Amino acid sequence: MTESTARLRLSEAHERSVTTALMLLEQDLFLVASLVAADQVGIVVSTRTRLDARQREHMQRLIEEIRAEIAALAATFSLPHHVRDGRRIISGHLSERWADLGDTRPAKLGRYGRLDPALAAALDPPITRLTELVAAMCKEVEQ
Amino acid sequence: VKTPPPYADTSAASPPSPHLTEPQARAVTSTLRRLEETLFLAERLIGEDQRGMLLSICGEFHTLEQQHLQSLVAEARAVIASVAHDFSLPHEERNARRILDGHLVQIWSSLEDTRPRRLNGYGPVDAAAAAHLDPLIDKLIDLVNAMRDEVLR
Repeated sequence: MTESTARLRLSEAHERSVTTALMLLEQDLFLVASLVAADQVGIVVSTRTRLDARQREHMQRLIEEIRAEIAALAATFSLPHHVRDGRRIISGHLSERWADLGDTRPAKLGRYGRLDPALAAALDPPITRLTELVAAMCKEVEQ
Repeated sequence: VKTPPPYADTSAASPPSPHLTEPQARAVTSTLRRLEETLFLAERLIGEDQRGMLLSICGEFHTLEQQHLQSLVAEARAVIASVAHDFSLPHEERNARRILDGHLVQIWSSLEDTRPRRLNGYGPVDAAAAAHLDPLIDKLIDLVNAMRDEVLR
């Protein structure tokens, strides 16, 4: 970086606008990088890219190039770095899941039609256990 | 001492329970899918802080916390597997390319809004700053479009 570019400053509003766009870009790059690196294979939902080795390598190169450009922009315009609390992010998502699970209890499922009592008896314990596990995770990340 | 979870065994030893009605199954399945997505996200953030140039997401979990959380995640997955098996819940395959393309389109739009001529809406942009900013944004847009080309191939 030359001395002249080091002195370049954007106004506060311009800086905020550029920084926000680049932060959103970086946030999405975290997700892109994770999906490019490995498929998410779950029990009731999976997310697969089906990229071949050449495509994965190309995507990884593009991600690195984008990060280098963001670094150049940050250095040129002295853009501020932000740190987000990963614990709060996890805790926020878990709280939503806790509420979802509450709505999936047999007593609440009755609104979608009468629930067979045998079925309710089979569904209630695992949903209760999942609710407990989510609450335990919340407690751990909030410590 | 923790007792082993009663839901860990998903073998077909026990007969499947009667079926939920379609709306009930949909409600349970969508809750469990959202939970699985959250478990993937939590696993990513618990395992490693994400450090970028302008944005970092840090939980700074120590090893014991990571181990405890990972065991909770594993147990939650075992319970989900048990419910999915017992109630014959369907598995959904999502196309990550479409998801990635959706994100990349939003990024493209957001970058277009940071071009110096668009930033003028917040007051005039210094000419020297604009001259440096424009080619860098161009380059970023080209790279994002190259990613879109790759994921849509």
